[in-house]
Amino acid sequence: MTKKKRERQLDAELQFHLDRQIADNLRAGMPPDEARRNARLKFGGLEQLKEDCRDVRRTRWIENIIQDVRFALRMLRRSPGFSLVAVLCLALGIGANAAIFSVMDALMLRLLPVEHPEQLMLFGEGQSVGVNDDIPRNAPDLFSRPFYQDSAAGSRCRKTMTAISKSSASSRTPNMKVFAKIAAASFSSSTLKVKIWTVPTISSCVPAASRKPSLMKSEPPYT
Amino acid sequence: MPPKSDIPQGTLDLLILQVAALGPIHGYAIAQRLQQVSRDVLQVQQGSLYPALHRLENKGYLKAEWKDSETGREAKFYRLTTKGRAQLKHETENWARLAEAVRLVIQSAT
Repeated sequence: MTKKKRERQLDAELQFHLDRQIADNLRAGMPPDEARRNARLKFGGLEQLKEDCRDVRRTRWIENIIQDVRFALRMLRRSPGFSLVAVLCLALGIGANAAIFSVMDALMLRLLPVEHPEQLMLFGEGQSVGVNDDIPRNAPDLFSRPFYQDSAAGSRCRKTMTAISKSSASSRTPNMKVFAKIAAASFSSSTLKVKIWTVPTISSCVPAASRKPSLMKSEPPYT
Repeated sequence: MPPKSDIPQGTLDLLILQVAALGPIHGYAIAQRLQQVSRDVLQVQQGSLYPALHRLENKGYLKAEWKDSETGREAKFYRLTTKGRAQLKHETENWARLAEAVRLVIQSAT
């Protein structure tokens, strides 16, 4: 039933009552004015009365929901097998979603955990040297660990220098592999030990005379 | 004429259901009948009668339909449903228990 229709019916219902009361008053011998006044008086505040009638339906709406929830719980308890399957499906679905989202979040949404991720640059040779919008996927350049340590220690920007490497064995293998996946940088250390060479502003690290990125060549990997 | 009494809280629903159990009836007639049957002791206010009717209808104890009344004019008639009948039985028992309890307490005091 539409709201309008309900309002019309409420009006009609109350008007009927009022008119009947007036008619009865007249029959009891009241003069017309008195009959009408008396009927209205018995009614009290008409608008208040209407509002009370509307309220009944409004609060009912909440009660309905509570009732529905109770009913649902009762039904679930009655068929535990079905409930278990349903809960498992939901749990798996939500779990898978959450897992995939956390990967996507780390890969695509979250910034690298460094101070100015937009200024990140890769060192190395080749086409992608100096790029800061993407880390090349296919051509990782290798630097030795001592080389990294020396440059980080001696550099004017050692605070901002870091390296990535792929394996947890990086402490034993002296090679630093520049790892191709940017998101790997925000993985926790227990899954992938990853560091990244970063120099926020390349000019501040490299002597002015030799500002070409090819300055830092890969050294032959230690074996 | 005996003194008029307000209807005790919570018993209006019971009274309405009881009157509606006799057959479909509109709001005005419910008020009239309550007054007559109680020999003018019970005065039901419109301000509480209609919200109560709508509440009972919403709970499914009463079913409303528009029909021609005895004067020929269309009116909203309320009819007791099966659910309403069960509720009436329940509330009648409740009331009997309460009345008996009150009586016992009053007797013990005298």
